[in-house]
Amino acid sequence: MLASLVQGPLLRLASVGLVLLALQRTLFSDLRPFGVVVQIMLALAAAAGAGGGPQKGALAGFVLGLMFDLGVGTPLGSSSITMGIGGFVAGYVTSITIDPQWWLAALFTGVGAAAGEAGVPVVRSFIGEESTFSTRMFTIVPVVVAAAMLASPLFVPLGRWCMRVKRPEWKAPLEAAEA
Amino acid sequence: MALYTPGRRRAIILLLLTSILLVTLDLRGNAIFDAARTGFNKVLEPVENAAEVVTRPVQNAWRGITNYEDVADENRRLRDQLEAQQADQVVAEAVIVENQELLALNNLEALSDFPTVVATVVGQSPTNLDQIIEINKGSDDDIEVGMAVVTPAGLVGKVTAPVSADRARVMLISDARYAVDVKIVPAVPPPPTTTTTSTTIPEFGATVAPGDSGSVSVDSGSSPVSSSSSTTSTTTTSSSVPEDATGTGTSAPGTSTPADGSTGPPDGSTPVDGSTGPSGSDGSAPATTAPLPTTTTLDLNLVRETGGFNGQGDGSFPQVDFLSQTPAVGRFEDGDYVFTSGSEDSLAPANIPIGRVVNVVNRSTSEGPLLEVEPFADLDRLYFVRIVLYKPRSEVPLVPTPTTTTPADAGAEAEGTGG
Repeated sequence: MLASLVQGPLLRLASVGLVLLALQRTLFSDLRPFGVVVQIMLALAAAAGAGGGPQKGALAGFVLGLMFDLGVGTPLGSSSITMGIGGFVAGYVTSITIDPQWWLAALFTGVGAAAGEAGVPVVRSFIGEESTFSTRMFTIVPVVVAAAMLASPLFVPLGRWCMRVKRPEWKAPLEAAEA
Repeated sequence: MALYTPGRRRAIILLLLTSILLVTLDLRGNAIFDAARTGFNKVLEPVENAAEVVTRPVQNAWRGITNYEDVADENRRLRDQLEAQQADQVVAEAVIVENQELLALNNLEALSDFPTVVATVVGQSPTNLDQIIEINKGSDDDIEVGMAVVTPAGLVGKVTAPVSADRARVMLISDARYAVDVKIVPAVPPPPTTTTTSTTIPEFGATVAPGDSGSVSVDSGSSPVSSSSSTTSTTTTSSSVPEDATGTGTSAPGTSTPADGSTGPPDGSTPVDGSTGPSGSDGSAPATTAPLPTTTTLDLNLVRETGGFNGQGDGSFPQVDFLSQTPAVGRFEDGDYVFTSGSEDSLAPANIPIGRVVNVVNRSTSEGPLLEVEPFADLDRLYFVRIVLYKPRSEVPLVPTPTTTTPADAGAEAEGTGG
């Protein structure tokens, strides 16, 4: 069990997530383009999805969301849902292509980040919070998406490393067969 | 290899259900989760401190790029404002001291009665929905969840979970989850009115018609007498002025507080039921009118309507709702002040200034009006805050009064039980 934990993606994801959460709470809480907090944890979840597929994206989102909830104090599980959605959506749209170019991966990461950030007020409404929907979401979502897309050249390989996605897995099947 | 198989779909559904289960358990309150949060924050703290040090140059550069113009403008504006306020400060301090002395004299609760802890704001919310800041004081300084947090400008929020030994989080009053009981105080009280009171004193043996008995005619100046019926709601009270404020040594009706603490007629008018002055209840003599001395009373007429104050999230003004339906509702105007009401269950003590009404939304009668409030405190620029170590009366444990039993009483009790 210990071996599977070490060899699995959780240890890498947790250690990278810890650093990103520290950056989220320090640098990115202060550095607010257009008054919006850039969500780098969500960006990593979406990038993991874009690099590893829907299941790995959802798993990365779940783990990173749990860490976010524990560190930030939001209801435990709420960010797991939104980041899980972000990772899943990014992975799902990635399935239309094989081994996407960097710019396509950035686009998929942005789509996942948009789905995750747009899901935050929905989840909060289900939890019972009021006034979660506002016109400010039209500012928040594009900024979060843009930041995720900008970070994707770094985060997609990082997400693959965290989720232990091996290169043959994201090669075209024909190339994999030849190899 | 299929990217999306039924087995993988099951795994994703399992993750989703687990998240929902966690949310449900957490919202119901779970000690294990609280402990997990505390432990996780302890693990995160050194990483966060390192990140703070490493990223400080980036933060400073960002602030230099984005805030330089604003800071320069603000600096100039604050210098002008400071000069203008220096004179006001002297007067304000004298008034505060006088106010505190009056409150102490009347055994009334004042904000300065409660101990406070000053803390530095060390972090902001990393989410786009929550309006939360982090401070560098925690349970080691007796800070508990729910305590009010203020600045010299007014209320800024309350302490929210989790509270660690040296850190705590403060939910700002702009957060959508924030709520507190408040009262609305008119910004500009009506000017002092001259009240001329003349009492019809029936002479002994005169006959007075029903309804005319002991009638008191009141000339309230600009305040119509009919307004007296408008403030009889249980949620509406009138500010009181001590007896000697009239300078006559006689109690001005409605402007003095009875000894039992109940308020009199709230508008300062004389009751028309003949309860004051010689009533002439026998009603047997012809009446003669004896004018009483004209007194100038401080009829502040401060209607204090209580309501619920709720944050509306970033970018929106907080609102006051649940205002009771009384004719006095029509008095709300832009510029009215909002203070904490300090009710029995309120987490904040009374009379902390919150903000100024900037918009009155008149809704249907059943809904009542809705007030939009601009906070006095600049919630975007908080550097130091003060935590009021106040617990509401409903949460202060009652200390049982020790009963002293004398030997004689004990003997009597023993006899009573034995008999």
